[in-house]
Amino acid sequence: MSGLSAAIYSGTAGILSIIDPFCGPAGIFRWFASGTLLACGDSGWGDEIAYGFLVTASLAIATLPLGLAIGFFIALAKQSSERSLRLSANIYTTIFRGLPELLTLFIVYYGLQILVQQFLATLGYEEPIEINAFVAGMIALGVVFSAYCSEVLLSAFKAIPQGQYEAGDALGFHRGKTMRLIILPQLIRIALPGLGNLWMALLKDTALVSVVGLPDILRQTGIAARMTKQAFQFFGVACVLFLVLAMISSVVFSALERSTKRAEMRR
Amino acid sequence: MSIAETMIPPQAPPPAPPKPYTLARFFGSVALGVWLAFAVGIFLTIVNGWDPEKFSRYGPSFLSGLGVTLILVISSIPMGAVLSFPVVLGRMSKNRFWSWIAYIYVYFFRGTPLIAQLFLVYYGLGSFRPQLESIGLWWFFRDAWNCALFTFTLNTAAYQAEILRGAIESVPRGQHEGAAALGLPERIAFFKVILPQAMIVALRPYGNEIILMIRARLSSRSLPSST
Repeated sequence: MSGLSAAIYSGTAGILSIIDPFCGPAGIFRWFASGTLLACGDSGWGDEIAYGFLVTASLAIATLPLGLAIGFFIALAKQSSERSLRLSANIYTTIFRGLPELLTLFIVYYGLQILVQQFLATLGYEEPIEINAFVAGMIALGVVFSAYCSEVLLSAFKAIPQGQYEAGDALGFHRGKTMRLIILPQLIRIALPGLGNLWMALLKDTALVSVVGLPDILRQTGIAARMTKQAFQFFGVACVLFLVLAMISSVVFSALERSTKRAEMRR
Repeated sequence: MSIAETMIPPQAPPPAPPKPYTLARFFGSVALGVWLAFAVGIFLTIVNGWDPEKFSRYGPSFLSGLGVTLILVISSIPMGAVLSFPVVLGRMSKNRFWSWIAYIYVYFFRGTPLIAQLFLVYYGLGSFRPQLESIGLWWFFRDAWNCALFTFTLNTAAYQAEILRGAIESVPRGQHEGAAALGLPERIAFFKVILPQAMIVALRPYGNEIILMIRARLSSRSLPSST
């Protein structure tokens, strides 16, 4: 098993090193920044910053499905006929929309560590546990994302008329099939602009995980700035990289919106 | 054939069927139990860890942190509001140049994390110390407090400019035309007709922005000697 995962790891690393837009064969830093502080390899900080970019992007991409899934079920719970389920879902949103993201991150990173440690201590396992900073960031950002996402999805659910559910019943679908074939496609179309905003906020929030030691863009550029004393240049590069991420995602989202609206356009 | 001589006495309605114990109900009770357990746990931790000595040692610094946060919010939001006006004018201007400048400003401050902007201003401008000293602005950017205030003002100005622009554009065209039909000059029409209606729309997003700013204050924690 470890041989397989090592093979997968080296395979992805190989592919990434080829398509790497910064230090790959066609990378920006390799062609335009050799000899400067942003050069790749040991002479510059290009490859470290490229790694930070990869970490930030993969953290955001890994958080998205987690947050969407939790947010979907929270939104379902909020429109349930069961009072206790509604109440607890509302408590969840109130708490995680009210807490600052940084505080949520600290609670997950340090608090979860203490909890797991105490739990294992009662089982008789006495060794210091350290939660992976990536996983902690993923959980914290995912939880915050899901709280906002549930509100967006709830308002999208409310925009779908009751007749759509009745049509599903009339066709003899059971509830899961109605949801999958009738409700979800319309839900995505309605909720996409709101989800796009949330994704942009998520991208910016990933900068916060640098405080728990994850080597993302901001941390890598911060280290480089401290070592080289060229703070403006490196933090400027960090801002530009975040802007690049924002631009890529706005292109992707407008393409997605166009493709979900193509049914309306033909009319 | 028999005739009923007495009325049938009124009867109590049949008892309501017992509510089925559904899966939703089960999950609801479990989730409520978890929240209750959390609340009790936090309460117990506070009660058990109540220590007057700790309170007197850390209490004042908590209070001063709260004061710093409040002063930063109270001063940067109005300053951002003032700064957002020229940005909105630029953004809605017919002149390509000004609208591009305003667009780039807004895109930069909305597209990058606040914490990166803070680092860029506080640490980044430090590398231009000789130039800043020569134009006499170094005393301002030397201080973490000033840098935080500066960055927050620029940041919130960008967000408020977008809110204001959206609100102004949401005022229907007929209002402009109505004001023009009454012979109002453009400036008076803007301040007396368009802006009051735009403000009604903008009020709610402004509230959101203030709350977001209070929470964003936490990221100024990473600069020395503030919050």
